[in-house]
Amino acid sequence: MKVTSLLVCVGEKYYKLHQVINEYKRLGVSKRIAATSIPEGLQEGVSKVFVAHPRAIVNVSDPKTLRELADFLYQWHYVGMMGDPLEEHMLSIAYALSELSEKEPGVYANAESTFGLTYQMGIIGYAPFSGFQLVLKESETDLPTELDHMRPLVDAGVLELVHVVYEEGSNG
Amino acid sequence: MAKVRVVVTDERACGRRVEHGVYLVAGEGEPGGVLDLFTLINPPIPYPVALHRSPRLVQADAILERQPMETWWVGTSLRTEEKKNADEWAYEMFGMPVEKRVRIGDCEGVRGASEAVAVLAAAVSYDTRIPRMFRTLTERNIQELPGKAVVYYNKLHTALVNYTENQQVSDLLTAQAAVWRLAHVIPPHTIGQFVPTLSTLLYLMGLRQDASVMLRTITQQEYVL
Repeated sequence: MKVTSLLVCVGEKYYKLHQVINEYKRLGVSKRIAATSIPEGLQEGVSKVFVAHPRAIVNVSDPKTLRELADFLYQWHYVGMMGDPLEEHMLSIAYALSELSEKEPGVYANAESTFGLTYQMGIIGYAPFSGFQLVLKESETDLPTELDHMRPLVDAGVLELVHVVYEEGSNG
Repeated sequence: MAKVRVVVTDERACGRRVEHGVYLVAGEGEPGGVLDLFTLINPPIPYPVALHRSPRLVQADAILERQPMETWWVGTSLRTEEKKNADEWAYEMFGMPVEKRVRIGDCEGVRGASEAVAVLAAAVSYDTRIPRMFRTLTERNIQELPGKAVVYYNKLHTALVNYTENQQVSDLLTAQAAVWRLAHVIPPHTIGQFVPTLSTLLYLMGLRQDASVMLRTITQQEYVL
């Protein structure tokens, strides 16, 4: 039997592409969802959570080519993999552009206009599903009365109650 | 009383978790452990939709095997997708029914909706002359025409503004669909006044065959830039 998985989108408001990749590789995925969006049929460690980002796929406007863009990025030492076919390294190129936009905004703006860059949403990776967690206040030791409607999910083991403690000095 | 677990973590780019917030968690484990916390997919799998907030239920194999998007959905997401009127989706994405889209212009000969979306996504681009063309439509008051012209005019405007802010291909796809709809909903006596400008917009969006088809089939003129 096939196991259900999930597909989520991460917006650019908080996360540039390279930040998503760096953070998810280091800490895994944590995404706030509506309590009403908790689906059934997921299996811990077996189901996957796919992540899509709006700047995953880069298009270059004619007459410029992806190769020229990659060569340009290579000058800035942002692309690690430059083999052929270049399309197979699209995520590396998108990552390099994302990092460039943060570290060298002027250079990025120049690249954006020179190459007529456009972006497309794409699925960039996945992590094994761990669960759904409800964050309690430090003073709470159980589900508060106002969230009693979630009790069945907690009792069924679908929703885990957690206290979150942040590592000292962590700043994301 | 339910058990409460203590999760020790670093603060993320989006900040600290909100108290009483519900979080989807995946790849939770020790950095440097046996399993990768997040496995990259390179090249990324195209997902040409607008950003959505709720998670969608999918079949992992269908995605990893890069099967057409229509085959990804399961459970409530499948039912949601099925509930969507197929024509409504096609008009939103293409500005015309799928059967027509795969027979004409830049998508002529493709095998279905997914392939048509992929062809358009790869073809569309932005030209700095687009705002001038859009202004021409506005100055000629296309938005004042009776019927649904104002609806698609607003869609086109929003999509172009969004594109200039975010450079998302999905906004250009929305824009080209709105251009096609405009060409079809304006009153017949205004076709000569507006369709050449609309077809130029398609041309400037990189859809040269579409531009030619629009002009040829709606105004019976040959396309000349």
